[in-house]
Amino acid sequence: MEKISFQDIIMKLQHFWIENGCIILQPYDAQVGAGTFHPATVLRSLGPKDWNVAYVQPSRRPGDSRFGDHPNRLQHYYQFQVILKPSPDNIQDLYLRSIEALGIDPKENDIRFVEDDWESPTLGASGLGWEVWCNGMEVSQFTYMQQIGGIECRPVAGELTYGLERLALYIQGINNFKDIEWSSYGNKVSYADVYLENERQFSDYNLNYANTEILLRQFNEAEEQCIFLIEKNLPLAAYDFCISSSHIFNLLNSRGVISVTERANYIARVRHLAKLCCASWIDLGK
Amino acid sequence: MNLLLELYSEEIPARMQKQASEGFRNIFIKKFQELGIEYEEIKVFSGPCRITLIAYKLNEFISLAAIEKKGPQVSAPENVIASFAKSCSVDVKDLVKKEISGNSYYFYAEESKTVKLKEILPNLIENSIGSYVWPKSMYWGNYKISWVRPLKNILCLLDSEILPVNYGHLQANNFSYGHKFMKFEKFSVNNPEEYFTKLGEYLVIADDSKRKEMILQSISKFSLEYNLEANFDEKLIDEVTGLVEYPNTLIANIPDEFMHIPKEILSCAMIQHQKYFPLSDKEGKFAAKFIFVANIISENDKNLIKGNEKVLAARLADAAFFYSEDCKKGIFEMSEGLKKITFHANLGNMSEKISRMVEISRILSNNNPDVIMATKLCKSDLCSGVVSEFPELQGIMGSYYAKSSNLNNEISFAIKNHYKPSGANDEVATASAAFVSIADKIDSLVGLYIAGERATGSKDPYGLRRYALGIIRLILENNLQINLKKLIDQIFVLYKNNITDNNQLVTLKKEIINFIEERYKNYLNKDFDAKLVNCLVDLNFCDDLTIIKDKLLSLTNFLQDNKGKEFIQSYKRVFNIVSSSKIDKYQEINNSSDIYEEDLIHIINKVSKEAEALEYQQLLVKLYEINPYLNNFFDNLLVISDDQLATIRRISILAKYIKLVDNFAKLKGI
Repeated sequence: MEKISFQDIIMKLQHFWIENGCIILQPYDAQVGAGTFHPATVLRSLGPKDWNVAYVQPSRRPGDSRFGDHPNRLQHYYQFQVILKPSPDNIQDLYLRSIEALGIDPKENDIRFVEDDWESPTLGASGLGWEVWCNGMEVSQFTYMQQIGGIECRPVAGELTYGLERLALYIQGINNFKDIEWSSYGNKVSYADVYLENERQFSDYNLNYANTEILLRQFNEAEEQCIFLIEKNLPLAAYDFCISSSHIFNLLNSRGVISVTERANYIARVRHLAKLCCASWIDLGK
Repeated sequence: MNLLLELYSEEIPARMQKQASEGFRNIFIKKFQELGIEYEEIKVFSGPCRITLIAYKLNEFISLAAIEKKGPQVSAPENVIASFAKSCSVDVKDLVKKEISGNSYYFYAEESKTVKLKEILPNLIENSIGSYVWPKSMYWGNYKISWVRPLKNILCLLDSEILPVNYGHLQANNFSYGHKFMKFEKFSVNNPEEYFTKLGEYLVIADDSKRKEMILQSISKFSLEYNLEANFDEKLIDEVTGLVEYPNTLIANIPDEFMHIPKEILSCAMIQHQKYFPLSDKEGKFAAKFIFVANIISENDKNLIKGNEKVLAARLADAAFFYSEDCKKGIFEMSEGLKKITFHANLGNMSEKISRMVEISRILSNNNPDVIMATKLCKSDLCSGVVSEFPELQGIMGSYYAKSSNLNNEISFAIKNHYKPSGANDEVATASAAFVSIADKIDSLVGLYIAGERATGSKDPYGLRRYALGIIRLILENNLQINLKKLIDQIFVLYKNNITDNNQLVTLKKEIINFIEERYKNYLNKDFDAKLVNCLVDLNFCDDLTIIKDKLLSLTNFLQDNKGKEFIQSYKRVFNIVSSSKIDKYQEINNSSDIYEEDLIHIINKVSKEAEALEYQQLLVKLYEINPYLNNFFDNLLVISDDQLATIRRISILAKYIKLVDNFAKLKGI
């Protein structure tokens, strides 16, 4: 298998999906926990219109903060997200060809679709599908979205989520994210060169310095602003605040200030916002 | 004739395949039976992408029995009659009228006829496909049908003829598809007989029992070759069989540096997370090798092996890192973290729970120091790195950390087993572990009740029933004489800071006792007659659960005996007379001029006195001594007589008998 760089992985995936009917979107400019939170997935997966997009999404999981010391766990990482709506008959084949384009040959690597149904309590969303394993390692999530914001998806969108760092580690034959070759043109640049300091500083913030009073206030304010904008029929603007509340919740959680029963309550509040945004979006019929 | 039906889809969850095979088989058996279709055998095979049904030796012609279906009365509203006709797939004019008991009814009548199997099969098959309910199903694309995963193709042949089966957007054909990764081509199947061979050519082993056999044989072969043993659950083999269309069983290595980590971690990582088969040497120690099953045969099996080795090594590296950090920290320091873990929003944190549990353990074990220490530390592993990665190892890791902090075996044993029983079928903790387990469960049960949590008919999110049942089993199987009522009172004192309404205390305690009583009865009902259980459990059961069980045994045995049967007959007779008499005020009779009354009173009083000192078993026999006197009483006296006074007297004596018996077994319940 040819060792391709991190940015080449992204370029090849983008190229593949352009050739297979997707437009390339840019990452959403808000802090999100996964590519799924991008309005291109949450809102656009609802409603009857066709929608075929691919995009990189930087994602934040404060709970995974490890100061960059852990070989494959980061509080900030990249997902490559593909939405195909309606899900095409040959979606599995497309996925397999996409990883072939990265040099992973399904004839030489044991690729498996292992049951994994996805659920996001904060988005009121769920889907059925698989983890995709490559020689025992999970490299992607493959989901047929059944409902988002409590609303059924018709037609159904197929969501492919690639773990870019995972893929890079596999393709480049290494074990530590710091060694990932980010670029192979001219001077070699590693992932550590680009992101290690981020990991360190943000881990410190997430675990030790995030001001919980400010966060609690911000959560309430985001909730308030979201509801207000829904009343003004601006679901896209409102959704920004829903995303914001979800990220704030993740931060509060990683600071350890939310108890088990409180957690259920916070999740319910974010879900409520998500439902409002989705319902409003559907009503607008865009 | 042979029938072949293949439902080809995207990967079906391994855990659902077997059930689906059985489910489909049963559906077809039932439908064939309904229509009188005879067959030699029906077999259903499952795999990640296929459910295949083959029915052997069907008859070409089926005779359908005559049908007569009763409909509404002729005088019924038009729409009712019309809908009946529709349900029989005919027009109203095709219905016949028949008189029954003076009323005229519509009937649908069909004479018996002979049809060709191929005419009725398509409909039958369509209905059958639709009637299996997957545990979870989904929609995809723009299609209207739902299935466990996207259904892509239906192959349906009756001998070599394609049956016109339609399901949603799919129309049956004679195609199938080869191995998704090794030979993904479309090909035709000409008849049911060639199905397996044809699929085999395209690298698919459609017969799951064959795939399983292949895997087992490979495992045996490796075991022999390396002089190792593979110990695994049937469930794992079945799951792995359901993850491959063509099994390629391979053996791989575990880096030596990880072999020192606790075997439960190795097991968890290999089995639960990666679906690998661990191997052990003849002494039962984990070997530095594992077996896994790939879905492809490649020229470069080395690549597959290396890849899987890397993944496992990464997981174990994580685990080893956490384990060593955890051991360095030590179980005592780990315990500090309990303050940060909430038990319940209204009941404080785990550290506070542990404090209460320690007090309870103190009471239960009579200040046994090992039990107390084990209780102090039993939840500390919740703050460990390993448990955060492998939550299923709670308790087990605690025992390792205890050992690593130089605590004795008794303590680590108690920590390891204190969750048992965690399910109705789980084994029960013993010795010191039993005390910790009871302390944990009863603290949770009482606390959650105080916090307002309850188990309803449909939901029990906190597992209150499991806690109660666990406590009961622990007490009975360890034969512990625990006064639950007293214990619960003591626990309420421990929770005094969490109790908001002191007026509700009595009601709340009663609720808890009743809840436990229900579970206790349920538990006993499994082995004993529910009516007998009811008779005995009402009597202050919570003073000592073990006594009740012994009594039940004695009572059950006694009543199976001839004496016992006589006894119960007598009792019933007396009970019926007393309860149907209109007398509600009984007299205290201690002697009488009538000899039969006198004898009966005398024996009742005698037995009353002697009974106190007897073992339950002997007591029952003693009660039987009264029977001959009862017989004499009834044979010679009229209980309900014209003499009012005599009647009152006699009823009173009989009531005393009832009262006596009920002291020992509330038989009025029967």
